[in-house]
Amino acid sequence: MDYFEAASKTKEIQDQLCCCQYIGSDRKPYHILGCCCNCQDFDLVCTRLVTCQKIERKNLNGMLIAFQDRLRLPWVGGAKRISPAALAPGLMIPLMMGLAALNGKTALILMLTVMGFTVWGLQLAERTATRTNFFLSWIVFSVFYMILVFECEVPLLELLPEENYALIILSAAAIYCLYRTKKLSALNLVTAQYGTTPKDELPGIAEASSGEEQAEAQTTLQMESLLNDVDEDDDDNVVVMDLDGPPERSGLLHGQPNICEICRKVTPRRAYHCPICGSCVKRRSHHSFWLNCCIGERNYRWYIWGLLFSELALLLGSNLTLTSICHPFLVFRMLGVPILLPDDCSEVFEDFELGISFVVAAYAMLISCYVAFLLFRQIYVTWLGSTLHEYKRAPPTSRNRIWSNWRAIISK
Amino acid sequence: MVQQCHRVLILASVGTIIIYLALPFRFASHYPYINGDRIEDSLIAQVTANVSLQQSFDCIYKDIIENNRFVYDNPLYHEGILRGEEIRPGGEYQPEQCRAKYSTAIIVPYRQREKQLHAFLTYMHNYLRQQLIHYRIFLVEQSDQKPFNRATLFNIGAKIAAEYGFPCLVLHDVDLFPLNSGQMYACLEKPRHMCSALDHWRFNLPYRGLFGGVVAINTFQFQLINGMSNLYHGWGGEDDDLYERLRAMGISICRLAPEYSEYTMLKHKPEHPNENRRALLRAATLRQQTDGLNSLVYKEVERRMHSLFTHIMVET
Repeated sequence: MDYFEAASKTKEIQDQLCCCQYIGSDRKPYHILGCCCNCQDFDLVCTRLVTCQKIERKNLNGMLIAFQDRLRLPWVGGAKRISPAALAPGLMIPLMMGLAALNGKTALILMLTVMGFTVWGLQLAERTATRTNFFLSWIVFSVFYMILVFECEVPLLELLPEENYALIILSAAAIYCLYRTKKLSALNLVTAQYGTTPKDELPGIAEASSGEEQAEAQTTLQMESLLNDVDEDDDDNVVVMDLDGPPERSGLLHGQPNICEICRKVTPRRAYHCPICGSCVKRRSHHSFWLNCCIGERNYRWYIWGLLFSELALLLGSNLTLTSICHPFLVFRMLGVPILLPDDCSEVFEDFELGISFVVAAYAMLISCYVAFLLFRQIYVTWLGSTLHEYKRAPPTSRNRIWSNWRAIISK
Repeated sequence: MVQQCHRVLILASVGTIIIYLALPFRFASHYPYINGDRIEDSLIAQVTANVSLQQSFDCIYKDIIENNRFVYDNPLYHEGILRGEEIRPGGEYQPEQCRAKYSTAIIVPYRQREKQLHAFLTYMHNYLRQQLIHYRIFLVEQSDQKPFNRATLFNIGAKIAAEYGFPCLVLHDVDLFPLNSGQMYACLEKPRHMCSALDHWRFNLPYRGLFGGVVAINTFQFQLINGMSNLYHGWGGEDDDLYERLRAMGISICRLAPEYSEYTMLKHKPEHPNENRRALLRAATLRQQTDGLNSLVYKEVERRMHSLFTHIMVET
């Protein structure tokens, strides 16, 4: 009941805010235009700087926190905070694309640099269990710049309207599916309905607030979905709020109980703890750094469809771009639309416009290779009747058992 | 309430962007065309006076059109002239086994494109003879140092071809090659845009008013519209001017199906565009009666009968 009231209160507060107002770290409403006012730590740091005194680290941290808190974007229901990690790709991507478009060597060097940086970044994020918006922002800006270059630099008079419609439909479908994947990720989290230990025994404030925040968001989203009847297709999967009754009874009703030692909760079967989300996730597949959310029971299908549509859109976009700026040859005709492949791209770097188009098309093909890898991995794991999380945690003997099963079938 | 307004605004913005991205005029055009089964009926059977009447029967073109196939990748068409003895001096050919029904003058404007010319003559002679038509290749070379005037060279070639009695003119660039065997080099009732599926434009037509590259037009129609404008020095505009002239005289153009109209373009350096071409194009119909065949001023330096083409060197 506390969650219900807290969610209602949060919603009421959000409704009262206009798009330029926000709630600061001290729980008071502020306006964007007042972002330069009333910053005590900043004043103190400047004063000490001018008077040549030692600057306290506490004041410096306070100043930086205030800066980050006040860098905001007008949004529905209150201004949203912009983190530097979310802004960095907006500058890095056009810089790299522009450099790569100069000639073939810089293009190759920068493509390899992007791949190396991405691999390193993903490994670093996974090792330190960091929840960051950097990769999601990278995707958003990549899509934006790809669309921009396609609409401004590629000679569109050489494309048929049907090809353009197909590209728009595939791109819109991909964006919508990935958006739904991220939206529904909150419904994957295991909440208090399965029982929890008393709050005073939780290990840390940060972890507790993270868990409570997740539960609050999930409760809000559940109420919205129930009220708006958005998930008509998932009626069988709608989780009924069962706040009454003892915890043991709820756990037994939902299946074999498990206990997560980190969350100190009773969790349903095939639910696993995600160290990045800080919570247990039902039927967890993996944490997608690119979408900054976990892939689990409620958003797995949207994720797969998102990958599929992304793959098709990227391949179609790069094919249209390359056959426009390079010399194409005709593979066959289908319903009056020529199906082409590029066969001579030796002159694309003689003109910067052609060069930037070529680089963006190559970048799209690079992304499509990665998306194809993700897609095939998911399909393979699903075909095994497992999830990626379970597959990775399976002992080597279990994998050998699969092979021995196949060998037994073949021998018989 | 405020939230709903924001949502409506966002949806309206996204919808506007998507509608703009989908507007069809920003993309290539579909165009009406003549299908393969109607091509032979559309061709006009007309020959020059000197076509021999010794053959006992007319040539059959139905099979040539129906068996349309990709021939550009055939190395025999590119390596050398096959059976060169069949070609008369001046680049003229007439089939011996049957009587040709179509006579065509192929007019090629030319200056300093030796490599393209060599490839063009080799391929086109091998290509055109399998169509069993009577043709002659006129190469009009501009031998002065002024900016290249493609339209004037066409006018000169058309005038000379008319003197030879050719009823059909094909205005042909030296760097364009037909890919499929069924593209008949003959004239129809209307002027025909032959290279409507060019590989340089992904085998699509950028806009319906495009009328350049390779054009087949009756000599009578060409004279009716007073030829092409002589004022387009440098690259660009004279093709659109020709299209405007035809429209002003109420003559519409036609195209064959894409599988017949596929052409490839050899690589070359881009020419310098003519800065005046837009201004000239705006006044195209106003100048039609005074600028063209009737105002053609040139000096014919030399006319030579090469083994593969009739070479006409002029100073404009």
